[in-house]
Amino acid sequence: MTDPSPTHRWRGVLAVTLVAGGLALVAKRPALLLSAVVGVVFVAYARVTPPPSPAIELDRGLDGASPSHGDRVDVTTTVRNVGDRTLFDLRIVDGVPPALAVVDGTPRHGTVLRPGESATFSYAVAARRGRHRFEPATVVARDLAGSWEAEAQIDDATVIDCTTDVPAAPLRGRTLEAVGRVLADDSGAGTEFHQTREYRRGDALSRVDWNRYASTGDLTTIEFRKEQAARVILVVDARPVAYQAPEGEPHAVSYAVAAAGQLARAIVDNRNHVGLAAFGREPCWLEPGTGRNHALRVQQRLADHAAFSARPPDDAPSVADQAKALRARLENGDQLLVLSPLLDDDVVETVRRVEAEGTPVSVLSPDVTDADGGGRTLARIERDHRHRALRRARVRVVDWDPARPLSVAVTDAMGDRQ
Amino acid sequence: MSDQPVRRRPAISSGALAVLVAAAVALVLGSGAVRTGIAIELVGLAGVAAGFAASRHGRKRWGRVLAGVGFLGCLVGVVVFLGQATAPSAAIQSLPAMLGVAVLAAALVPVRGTGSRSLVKLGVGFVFCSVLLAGFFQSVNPDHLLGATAASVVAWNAGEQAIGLGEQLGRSATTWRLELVHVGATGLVAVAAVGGVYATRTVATGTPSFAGFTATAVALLLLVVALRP
Repeated sequence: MTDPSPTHRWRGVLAVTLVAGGLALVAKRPALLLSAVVGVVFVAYARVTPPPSPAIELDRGLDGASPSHGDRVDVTTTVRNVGDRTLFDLRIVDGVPPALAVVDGTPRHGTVLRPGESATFSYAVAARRGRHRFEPATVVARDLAGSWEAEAQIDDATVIDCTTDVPAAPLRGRTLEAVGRVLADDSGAGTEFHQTREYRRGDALSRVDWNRYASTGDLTTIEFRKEQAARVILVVDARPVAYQAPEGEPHAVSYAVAAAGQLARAIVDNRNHVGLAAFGREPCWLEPGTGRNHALRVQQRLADHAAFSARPPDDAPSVADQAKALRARLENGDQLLVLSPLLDDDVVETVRRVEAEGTPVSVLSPDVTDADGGGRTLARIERDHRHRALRRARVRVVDWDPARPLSVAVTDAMGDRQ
Repeated sequence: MSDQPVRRRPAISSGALAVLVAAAVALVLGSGAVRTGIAIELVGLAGVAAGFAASRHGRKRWGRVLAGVGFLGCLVGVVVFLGQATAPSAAIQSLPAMLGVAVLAAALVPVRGTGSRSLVKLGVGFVFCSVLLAGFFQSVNPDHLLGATAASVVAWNAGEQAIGLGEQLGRSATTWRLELVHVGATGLVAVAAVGGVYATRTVATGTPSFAGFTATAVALLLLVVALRP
């Protein structure tokens, strides 16, 4: 809430009143002097109206907080004057998430509110893949004459969640590429069947294949595949170049941030460790951890940290330097999952170098190029080249068209490799 | 990602009211013969505004034709006005108001961009020039002059409000309640001011002495300076 500031909009009236009064005096025209009196009344009116002190509550309702991609979501915003004075001139601009387009109505409203009174306005947005948090609504209150103006930001923390659960993240096994859980070829304690072998003394009774013993009389032991928890660092490419988008569509960073939240959940659900980093305006690092609470921490960091802001930064340090800083934090056996639209060669070069230095890297690449228009087509061809370059460097690349659910893209990509 | 596109044009009702009030001032200040010319010009301006509105709604050709006819109407109005003015003073007095109404309309239609506060000031400034000239030439009834002064302020206030609303909320937002209260309050102040002055003038008898007049004027000017925001 800012203090009311004067708008100085009545200065012009003051000036013409002086001119009228002066002309009346010089030319001795009583009628003009009376006109000047009228001007004085207006100036006095502007002077005596008290500055507004808005006390407002905002409530935002959605007709479906978890819509599908492309669905229309009706938003109904209610503002209530909880102060004890009438707000004669109240202008509200709702904080529509930057990635969403308004398709019907307008998120702006102007009204007069008596104490306790409320006003409601509604509009519709088209849902886009991702978690979209509403920004604070901006409220501007003026007094009756418009000579004072106070501005306030009111947050309601509404979220449109247009994501689906992802069953698994496209990870790289150290010895075997497999769906979801990172598995090792060694057998040991685990849940997935690996092989049977002859019973040896000391094997646990629970692992003896009693069915086979019943039918053949041979004692065999079932071995399960040994599971190793992987440490996966999600790296969101949030450099200025990644904020590109076709006209009227969300940019790649908003898709990447939403996908990172879903993948973190999938990774911990599969009992692996997940950490978070960014190539962006400022360094971001969340130590890998596991469990639902850690997934929530990752999602919180994605929502809060400046590096993942919905607004593009002016500048960012070079991606090679950021990757070097990131490499310094990695432990042996960590792997990276880079979420990048691959719109420039720097990020490709960096990924290839990290891979060559021995850290397994996967890339999830939301496609924000557009088939229409010559420049866009060129961008698409360049992006395909980058995909091929990465695949030649043995980096797993998942191409994700954000119009399709992430889970489909990931499942398809992992199906291709098997 | 760009911001949501908003048609940031001046609010329609306040803008229309501003132009209508300014036009009424121009009509009141003009003498009988001049009024015909002013009326023709106003019809022409309405045509130009309708033309712009039509071309924004996708009917470009019709819009251009309407705007062209409207512009011709304005020119005819000016010619009729100049032809009918009985004395040079009548022409000099009403010309700024005619120009002012056109400038105000251009600011609020708007002809381009989001409308312009400077053009609103300029337009109403021209109208107020006519008020000053009418007062100077003593060509209109003092009561009309009072009303014209108050109406000029109301027109400026409504026009400025229309542009402010357009900038902050755009044309498609619902704002009628706010506009009604704002313009209504200014209108009430105008009526109170004119009524008060009129009542005082009716009660007072005789013409003031030069010293009395000067003292009143100086006191008034000092009051204005004291009230400055």
